[in-house]
Amino acid sequence: MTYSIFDNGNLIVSFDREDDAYDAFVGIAAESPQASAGLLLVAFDEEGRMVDDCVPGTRLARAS
Amino acid sequence: MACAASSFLKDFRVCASGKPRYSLVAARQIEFHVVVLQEPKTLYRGCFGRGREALLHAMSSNYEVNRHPPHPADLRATVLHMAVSGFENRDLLARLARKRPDRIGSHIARLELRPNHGVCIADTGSVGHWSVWGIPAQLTEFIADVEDL
Repeated sequence: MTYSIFDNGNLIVSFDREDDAYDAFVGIAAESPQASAGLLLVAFDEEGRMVDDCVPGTRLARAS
Repeated sequence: MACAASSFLKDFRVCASGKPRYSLVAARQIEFHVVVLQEPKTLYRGCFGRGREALLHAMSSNYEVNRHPPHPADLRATVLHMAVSGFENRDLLARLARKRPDRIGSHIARLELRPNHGVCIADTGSVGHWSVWGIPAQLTEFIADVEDL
């Protein structure tokens, strides 16, 4: 699995562990809730297929 | 700060050892193999329309859109901050864009990248995802088609 964080449609960081990706995503959103609007966390399987839903940064910003 | 410093040291050790881009030490991708494009390559990229400005924006990195101050996320890897994302799989991108058109785009541009224009690429993130470096105006000339979603 690969967990990719996109901003403005561009990859900005990727992880191979879900917890690390989610922690980073939450951290980024907490650092700058306003700027998190363009963020998107997407999980991909080993063949590059999107897995499940993706998480927009605004969801985290609203939750924080 | 202590956390950031600790993270940097861990990342540095992985870089210095030449281990694969992912390891148990650093879970995020920290190594990038950038090459000058040598063969034609087709990639797909989300965009927000067919107009020149929309396509220029789609072919611009986060660095090039000149956001100030930089988003904290952009400081994770400058090499990615200066790149444009593209996918080999059109259907995957379409699915992603349909789920999040506000983030990915309302249209899909098909890029027919050609060598000998200084374009550089790297296999980054998930399988089939590529980071592209090029002059935005030049990259727009590689757009062969733009489709509505």
